[in-house]
Amino acid sequence: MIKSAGSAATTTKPPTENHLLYALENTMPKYKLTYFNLKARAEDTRLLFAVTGQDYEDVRIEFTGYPVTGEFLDIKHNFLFREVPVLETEDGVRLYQSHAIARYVATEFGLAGETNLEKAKVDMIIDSIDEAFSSLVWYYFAEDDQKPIKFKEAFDDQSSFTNCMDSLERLLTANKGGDGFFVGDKLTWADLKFHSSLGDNIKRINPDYLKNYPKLSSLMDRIENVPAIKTWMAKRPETMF
Amino acid sequence: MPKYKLTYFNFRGRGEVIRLLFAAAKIEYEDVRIEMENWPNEKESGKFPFCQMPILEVDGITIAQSYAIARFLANEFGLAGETNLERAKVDMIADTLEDLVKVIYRVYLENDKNRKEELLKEAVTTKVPSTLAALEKVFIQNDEGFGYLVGDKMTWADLVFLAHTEYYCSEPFKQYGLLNPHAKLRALRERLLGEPRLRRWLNIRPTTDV
Repeated sequence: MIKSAGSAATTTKPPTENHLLYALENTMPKYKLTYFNLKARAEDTRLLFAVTGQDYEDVRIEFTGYPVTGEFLDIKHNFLFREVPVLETEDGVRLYQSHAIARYVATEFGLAGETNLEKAKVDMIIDSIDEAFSSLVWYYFAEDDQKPIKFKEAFDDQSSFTNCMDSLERLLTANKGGDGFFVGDKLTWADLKFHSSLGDNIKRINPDYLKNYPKLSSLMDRIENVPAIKTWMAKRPETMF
Repeated sequence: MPKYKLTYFNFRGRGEVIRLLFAAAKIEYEDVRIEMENWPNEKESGKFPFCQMPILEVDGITIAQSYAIARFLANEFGLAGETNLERAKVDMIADTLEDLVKVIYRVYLENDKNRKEELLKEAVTTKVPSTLAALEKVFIQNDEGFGYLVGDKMTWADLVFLAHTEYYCSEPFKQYGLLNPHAKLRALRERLLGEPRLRRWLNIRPTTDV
C-alpha cells in the first residue's frame, strides 16, 4: 500500500484486523481517502482536494487488474460495503460511494454548484459521465485480443459513449457559449469529473476523437492550466487508468 | 409554486423514487408516462438532455438523471438530510441501493430462461444478502434502527429503499425472503408502507410489472 500526504510517499502496512486501533495509532488527518492506486472513481475527489489546497491522506491499495486479487482481498472485510473508495474524517466518520464522497467534499468547499438548480445540473452531468466512463473501463479490462473490439464499441459514432459526449458538448455550449465551465460561472466538481473520468482517458487512448469536441477540448486545457491542478498532475503516480 | 412535470416510462423503475418524493411532500406534479413503442419518436424531440428518461421540467429548466432529480426535489422539499454529512450518508445509501437494483434489473431483462435463473441465483446468494446486511448495520448505527435510515426524519434514502424493496418482495425474488434476516429493515419497510401520504400514492398509482 502506498500512503502519501503532500509530496512525501511512504509505504505502510495494510490495516490490521482491528482497523480502529490502526487508525488511533496513526494520528488521524482531517481527511483520509482510501482507494486503489488508480485514478478511476477517486480522482475527481483528489482533484477537488488539489484545487482547494486541502491536505489529506491519499492511501492507495495495489491494483493488478480485474478481477481484483491480492492486497485488496486481504483487507476487504474492513470496509463495510466491501468497496472502495472510502473517505474517513477526523471525527471517525466513514463515507463510502465515490459520488457521495466527492459531493460531500465539493459541498464543503463550495464546488458543487451555487443554487439547488445548479447542484442538480452538476449531479446530472456527473451521473452521465459515470455511465460513459463504464465503456472505458471495459476497454481497459479487456484482454489484448478483445481491446480493439471494446475500443470500437466505445468510440463508434453511434455508441452510447459518443451520445454522451455529444450531449456534454451541447450542455457546455449552452452555458454561456461553452468557453467557461459546465455549470454556473466557475469550476465545479462536474468539470473535474469530466477531466478525470473521460477527458484524460480519451487523450491517452484516442486523442483524435477529442478533436470532434472543440468546447470540451478547450475545457480540458482550461482545467489543466489551473496551477494547483498542473502541480498535482505532475506529481501524482502514473496509473493504469 | 413551481409547476413540475415528470416524464418517464409507464413503469415504476427509475421514476418511482421521484413519484414517492412528490407524494411524501404532498406536492402536485404532472406524471407523464411514455409507452415503450412511442419512446423512439419522443426521443427525437430533442428535449431530453442525454436522450434518456426520466426528466423533470420545472420553470423552463430540464433536469435529467433520476437521482439528480430526486436529490433536487428532496432539497426543495426538506427530505434530503439536514447537514452536509447527513446528505452524504443519504447519497451513500442511495448509491449502494442503486448498485444493487442494477443486479435486480439484469435478472428482469434477461430473456434466456437458463441465464435468467443463473443471474437470479447469483444475486440472491451474493450481492443482495451482503448489501442488505451492511445496510442493516448502517441503519442500526442510526438510533438503533428505530426511525429512518438517516437522521431523525424521512429522507429520499428511505424512499429509494421502499421503491427497491418492492422488487425483493415480488416474483421472482419473493421466495428467497431477502428481508427476513433483517428485522430493522423489515420494520422500516412496514413503517414506510404505513405513512399516510405514501399509502395514498401506493393505492392510486397505476399497476405496472416493474
